[in-house]
Amino acid sequence: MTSLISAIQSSNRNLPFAESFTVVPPTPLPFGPAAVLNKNPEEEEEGEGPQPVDIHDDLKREVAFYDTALEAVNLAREECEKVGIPFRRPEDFFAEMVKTDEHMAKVKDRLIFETKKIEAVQRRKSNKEQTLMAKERQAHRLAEKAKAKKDHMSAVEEWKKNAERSRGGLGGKVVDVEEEEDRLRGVGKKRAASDRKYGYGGKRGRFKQNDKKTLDDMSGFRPRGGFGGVGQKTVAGGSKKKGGKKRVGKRARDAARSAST
Amino acid sequence: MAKKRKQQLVEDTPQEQVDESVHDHADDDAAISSEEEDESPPAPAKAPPTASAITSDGRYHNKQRLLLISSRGVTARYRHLLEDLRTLIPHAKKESKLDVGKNYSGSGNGNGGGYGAAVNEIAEVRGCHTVMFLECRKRGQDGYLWLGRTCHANSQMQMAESTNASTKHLMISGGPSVKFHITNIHTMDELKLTGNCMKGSRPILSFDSQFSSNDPNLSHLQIIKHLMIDVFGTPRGHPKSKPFVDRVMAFYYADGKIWVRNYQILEQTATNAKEAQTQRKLTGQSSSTSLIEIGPRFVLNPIRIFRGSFGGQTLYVNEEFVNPNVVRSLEKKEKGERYVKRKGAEKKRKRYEEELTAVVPVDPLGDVFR
Repeated sequence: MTSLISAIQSSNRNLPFAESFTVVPPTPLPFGPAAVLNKNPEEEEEGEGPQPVDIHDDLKREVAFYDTALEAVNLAREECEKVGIPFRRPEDFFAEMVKTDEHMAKVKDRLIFETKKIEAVQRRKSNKEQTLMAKERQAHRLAEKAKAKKDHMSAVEEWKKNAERSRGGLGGKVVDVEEEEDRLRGVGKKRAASDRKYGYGGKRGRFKQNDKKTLDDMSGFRPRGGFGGVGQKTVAGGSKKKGGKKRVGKRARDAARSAST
Repeated sequence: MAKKRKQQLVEDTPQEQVDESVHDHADDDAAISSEEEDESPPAPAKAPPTASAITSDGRYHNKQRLLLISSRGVTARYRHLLEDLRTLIPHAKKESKLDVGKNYSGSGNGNGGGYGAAVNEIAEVRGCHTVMFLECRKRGQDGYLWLGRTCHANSQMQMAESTNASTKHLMISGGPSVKFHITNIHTMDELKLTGNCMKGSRPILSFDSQFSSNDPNLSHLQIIKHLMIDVFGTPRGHPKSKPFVDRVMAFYYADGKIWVRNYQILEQTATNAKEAQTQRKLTGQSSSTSLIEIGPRFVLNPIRIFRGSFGGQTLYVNEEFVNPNVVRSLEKKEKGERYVKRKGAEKKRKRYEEELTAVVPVDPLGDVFR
């Protein structure tokens, strides 16, 4: 032990601060057993105090190191002021640096790359969120639409019932809404004619194609134009039930009218 | 070149120069200490701490140099670390990698000085007072860092001081020296360490409070501290040093190891008055100080402290230190045991099955109903 003490004394060169630049920040490190070792009895009386930090927790360890070093820097700055050593490097003082510009460029590139990476990840995350939100919104909108339709239909039903009730005095005749609409919309003459010829609705295919009979049927043909002919099949067919009375000429019709009145 | 110089020295230097305490440290460390404890040095007179011999007037007085050297066979990581240290320490002298066989005899005294003697000799030739020697063993798996004052250093430094018995002892053997196991090395090349500083700027050396505590369990840290000041501290007024301070080198004792960090000091002044005011309110200063790590960072596990330079009486032994060789051999043994166990189990099973067939008698009616 004595040899250790003597060795300490002999190894100590007792340099003043200006030479040694040594600082011992008074705050003890917050690590587990070491912190306990350094604790004063008074501090122990105070109770819990800060929890000792696990030395193997990288982040916390480095933070503790950083804080201690920062404390040392502040102490050293004061000491330097006392001794008169300039501390801050002026802006216009250029000197060779430890790391080359090339290396620092690499460092910068890496920092930029990392920020970009972080941004990309965030963007991806937000995009994902947005698509999810959009999906939800779309579903919501569809549900709303369906509901609106349902409401409308039920309103129509209601109105129908009301209308039925109110028309109850008029013989209870119900107006079929669809038929009414059809009537209002109106079907073209041509359409009506072909419907008469071929029938309406049902399967298409060969039923609506010409067959031998209809192909030869020229009864509907009017060389002077006009569509009415289609329906005159029956006339051509020879049965003269409908067409028994032939329309007379205009003069005759006028004469007949004047005679009747 | 270095070898030539060495050989020259072998002829020139008188034998007393290399003390008997300088040993082949390639031998077991324990052997050194047991040998040394027999010849205990004369009890040192408790001299009051001497006032420093250096006048500090801003000129270059503290003319100490550091020999930065490694053994042969260091891996790239260690080599980079040494390169970093060389750029950071302007008073370091470079020397080619040391290659000494086990039977190297320092100064021709025949008992095998080994690395220690060789390093001391080189230091003397280069006029270095302190040595940092990185030794690599087991094909670069284990790195050992030696820090120490050389014989040369103490004889010069203390020549002017008193010539009492204790200092005389040191005069001959140099020292103290410390052997560390170096782990967790991160060099400056790593892009995560983003700081930068002027080449040769004087670092503030920050030691945490345990380095100056009076606890007898931690008193060895004081020796380490004094050595670190010499090794890492740039002498004031050194021609290659810069007049401003922009980095702090921090040493922490935690978990029984010394953690070393190197930070850049970044001072930012506020750009406008409003910011400056808020800054002043917060910290009391108009500029904010922050630190950025420059590197390198590493962890030193002290193994042993010697009184002499690369040998001599052991002042401190780290009881908790487990040699990495032991760790590896244990691992291997465990693996071997697994094999032995499996083989044993196989044998046992075989024997058991054989016994079973032997015990069950042959049934005479076994094949009647077949």
